[in-house]
Amino acid sequence: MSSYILSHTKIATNCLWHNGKLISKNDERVSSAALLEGFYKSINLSYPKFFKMDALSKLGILCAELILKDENINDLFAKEKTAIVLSNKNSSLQTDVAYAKTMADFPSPALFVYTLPNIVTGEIAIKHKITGENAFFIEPIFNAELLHNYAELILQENDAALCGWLNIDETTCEGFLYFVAKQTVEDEKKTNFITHNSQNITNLYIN
Amino acid sequence: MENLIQDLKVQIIEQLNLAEVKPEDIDASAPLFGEGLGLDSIDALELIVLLEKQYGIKIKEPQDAKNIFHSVKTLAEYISANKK
Repeated sequence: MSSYILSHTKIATNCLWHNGKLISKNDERVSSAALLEGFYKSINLSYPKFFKMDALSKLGILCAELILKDENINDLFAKEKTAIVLSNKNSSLQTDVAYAKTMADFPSPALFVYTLPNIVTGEIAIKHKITGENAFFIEPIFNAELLHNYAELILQENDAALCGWLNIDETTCEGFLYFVAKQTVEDEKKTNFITHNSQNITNLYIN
Repeated sequence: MENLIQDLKVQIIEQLNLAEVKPEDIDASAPLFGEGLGLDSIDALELIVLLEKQYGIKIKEPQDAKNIFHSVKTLAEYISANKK
């Protein structure tokens, strides 16, 4: 049984894209945090906890929001059979540095809880009540083959997975998430789905 | 006391990153946890940091924290009574 990509979101070069459509753009030169808070407002998201999160989690929450709210995609699959597979280059370095600075004075509990890259998987899971397995990989560059291979492995035991790349520092803000699901016989009649393979993942990430 | 309550509201918003909350939205007598602002355990730790950093106060008896952090008003009363 093959699998297909139902939806994808990308944040890059100060733009927010969903399924290839430009949703929001910021022409000003702003920090990653300011950019993401601008996108938060542009999609009318109401989630007060967003402002307490570190930038990596904000990036993940924004990308996931557009995908999982897309035609209620999240409700089509069992939450315990939906996985999250993420990756990046910088791990949680931006938050690690910010936390280290507070250690000279009063170490910040609010920063400390974000000093792991996989916290963003938990934040997405909490918001969308996803209880399937999750993984976070640190890679030197975007690795479509890794995402494809690991997602396919997971799909042997699960129904769907939210996968992608969330990389952030003070000036770089790059997010790409896609939602992949097993293809059923009924779904095979539909032609607008994207086959889940490394080449298509790369194409969606680049374009 | 009223000035302290106003200051605390601003400091809590800043310390806890409650970006969508304004000082006037906070009922000084409303519970800070569970309902009201809906703060969590990490926020409680941040409030302890705020108390020490801004007012030089350390809570000596942990079991007192529940009553101290019940509301902005109870927090202000504790600060007034213990500020160095």
